Amino acid sequence: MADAKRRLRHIIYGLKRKFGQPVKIRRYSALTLDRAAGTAARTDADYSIKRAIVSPASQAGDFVYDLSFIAANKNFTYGGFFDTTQRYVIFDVRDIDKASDIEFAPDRNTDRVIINSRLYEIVRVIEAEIRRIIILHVKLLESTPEIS
Amino acid sequence: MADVNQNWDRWIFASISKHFETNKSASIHLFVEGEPRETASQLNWVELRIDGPDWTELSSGFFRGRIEVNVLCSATETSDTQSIRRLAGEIQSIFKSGIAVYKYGLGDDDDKSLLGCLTLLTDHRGKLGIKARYFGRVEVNTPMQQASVEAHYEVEFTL
Repeated sequence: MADAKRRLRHIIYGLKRKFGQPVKIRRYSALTLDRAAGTAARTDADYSIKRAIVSPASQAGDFVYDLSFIAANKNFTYGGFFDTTQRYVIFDVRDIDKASDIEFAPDRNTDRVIINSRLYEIVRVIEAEIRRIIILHVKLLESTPEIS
Repeated sequence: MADVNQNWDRWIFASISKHFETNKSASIHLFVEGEPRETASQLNWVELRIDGPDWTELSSGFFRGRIEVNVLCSATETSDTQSIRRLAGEIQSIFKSGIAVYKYGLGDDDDKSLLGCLTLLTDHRGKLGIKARYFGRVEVNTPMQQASVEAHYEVEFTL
């Protein structure tokens, strides 16, 4: 097991070198609501990750087909779908700029991921075998503007 | 038909939101539809949703509006097996027979003065009134009980 973990760490390191790029996690920190006036002032804190593995957009396919699907849909063109707005982000919590957040656990409801100045929502948080590695399945929030 | 005042809808929405915010106990976490929603750190919470108003002009410039207020209650399963009943019960008590509508807001017309009163619709046949519905655990792998409490209100405004 220890050997497998070491191999995994080695693979992650290799991927980081190959696909690593700066990514930010935008974490909701406070909300000031005035329900009578209808205002919500949201305060966020950005956490920078020096090198996160960001999969090319087409790697996070949204569709898996099996034999029953093919049997039921004869006209289906084989090859599956892919969604260019979805990605996987893999990072090591030690790469987050704030050392105190070593127990960092993303919150799917409120955290957002910033990749190349675009905002992504977290679809799924996948816990890796090595606890400090976090895998996020993210989807582009298309209606949001670019973040400067 | 005369034109409905463009601010009525917003004033009703703000007044109901404010009513629930001020009448709930501090332990209940309230979200109003459209607000940022942070539930990861909460065990129990409620979400307020308002539908309507449906306007009818009864006579020239005299309108009756019908509003549906719906609150979804979510309680994480703990050793307290009645937590969802406690939560939904408190929400039921907040559905008062009357909710005041004030001209809330930050605009020129929003002077916070009293505009009217929403009246809870009830009848003796049991079709109207405050309705609680329990859904139990909606997803097998999510240990959470859910329920909804809803009621209809009516309001009359003159232009």
